[in-house]
Amino acid sequence: MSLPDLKTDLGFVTLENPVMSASGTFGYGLELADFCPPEALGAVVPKGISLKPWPGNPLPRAAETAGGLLNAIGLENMGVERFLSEALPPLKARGARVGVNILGKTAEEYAELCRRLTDAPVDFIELNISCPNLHGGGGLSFGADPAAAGRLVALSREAAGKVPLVAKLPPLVSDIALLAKICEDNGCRALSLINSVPALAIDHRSGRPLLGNVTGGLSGPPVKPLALRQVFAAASAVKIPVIGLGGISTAADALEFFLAGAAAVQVGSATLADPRAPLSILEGVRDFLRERGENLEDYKKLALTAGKGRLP
Amino acid sequence: MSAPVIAETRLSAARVLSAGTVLIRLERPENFPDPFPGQFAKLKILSAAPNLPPGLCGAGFLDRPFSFHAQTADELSFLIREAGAVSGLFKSLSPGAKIRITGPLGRAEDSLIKGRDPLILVAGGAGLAPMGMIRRENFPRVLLLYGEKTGEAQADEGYLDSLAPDRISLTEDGSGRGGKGLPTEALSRALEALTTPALVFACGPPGLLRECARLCAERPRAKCLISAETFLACGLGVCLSCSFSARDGSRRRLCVDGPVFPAELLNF
Repeated sequence: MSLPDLKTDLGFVTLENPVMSASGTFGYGLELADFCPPEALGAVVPKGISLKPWPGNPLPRAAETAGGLLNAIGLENMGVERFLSEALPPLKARGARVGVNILGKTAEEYAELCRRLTDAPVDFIELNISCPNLHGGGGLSFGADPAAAGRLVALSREAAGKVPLVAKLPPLVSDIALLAKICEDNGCRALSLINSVPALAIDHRSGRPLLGNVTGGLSGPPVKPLALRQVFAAASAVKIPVIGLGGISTAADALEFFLAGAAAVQVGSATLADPRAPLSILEGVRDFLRERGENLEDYKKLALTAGKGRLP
Repeated sequence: MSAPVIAETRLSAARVLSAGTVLIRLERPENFPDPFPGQFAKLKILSAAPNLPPGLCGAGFLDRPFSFHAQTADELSFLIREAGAVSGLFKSLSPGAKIRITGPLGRAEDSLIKGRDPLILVAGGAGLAPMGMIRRENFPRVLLLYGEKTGEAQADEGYLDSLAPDRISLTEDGSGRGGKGLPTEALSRALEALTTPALVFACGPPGLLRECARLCAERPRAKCLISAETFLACGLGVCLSCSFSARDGSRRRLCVDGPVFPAELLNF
């Protein structure tokens, strides 16, 4: 068989392939271009941005735990103005599809960011309502409260004009299906999940936490089964596409997310170990499908459904 | 400076220098750019269990950063101190073990490449790691001040002779060669005796770095460079694990703007 068709229709955009970079692990999209050209991926999601530049959390900001990574960067970023003038144009000039991850302390800040991005050449906005490392509101404080999430999405929807919205959801909520549905009902065109899992690491000798922020977010292979379950639950609850992420470090991992109901995937922590990871995962998916003689859409038909998968 | 490369290579030799410290030599991958003093590479042991997924291979999830210790046309070497389960694996590797190398990473510090002033190297424990990259023929006079906690941890004399014939070795508990004391005490005496400007390059635990910075700040003739350390994940400037505010108010990423910084830029 010739090369399999990997086209991925998200309803509001058709991607050449289903593999994206996850926010916070791919810089502003060009830093790793020698290892992984941004235009080779389905889309890139640069580092999350806020209205004004943020300095982030104190050092140490990351630590390795068994098989994975704990981080509390704290959304250090250049702010939306510099992003629009410096980071976005060269990325678009290369032909990359770009989803912009945004966050603020209040729902109004999210809406204001959407307003700034309305006329920018971006393919979607990813509302980060799931970062576990913010203090004084923002991030997870919205994702953890379905009513607050609904209001934030509705306000952002109004402000964003034609730009499609994707809500990035947290892993640990009392009912992921309910949160997913509320985001859909308030105007999201897709969901992405999971963000990192709130977690803690302590040095038993010093008695100190390993992170300057004390707690952080766990990512990497240890969170993959948790992510698969939440993607399955969310995809079973909504009609809009779900972008799956959480511990994807091999092509097999990505394929499992398609079977859990994901339309596309994002690669995060694996890129920090090996910057070629998104590309090698994409190549692995392509090789796998070529051997089976299937296109991606054929393979996705094997996905578990809520009935088959017996979701509680 | 050349862009970093990622290559698979093999261990050619591992030499135990002291309890917990091993000097490994890797076959130099083809077209591997020349590392400069102060630069580092990320290493991952692939042969621990090459067929297991990342994170389950026994060699850690992330590749580990190590300063280049020395280079030749055929080899790259790293001095590795056992600090955890993964760094502890290197001493038991056999020649031929497969290793992934990503590098050279970090900024090359110009003043460590060639200088007219005497160069004082201050190394605490694993802080010896970057010192082998200094080309002695490029500096008129190099003095190494090397401290360890115990004699057991001291690198052997043969190795130290090859690194810096002119040196002072000290141990904190007095159990080793060279007597009892701290390398920073030796630095204080060396700076007292200075009649010309000098460059100080320090690498080691935070207390040692702080003291080196303090001593040099008191003496305008001594310029102090510090090889700093914090946990870093990607090493390529994207994850911001190692980003901090410098004293001049700028944001710096240790992995791409360092790891060597003028002491006056760092907040201790």
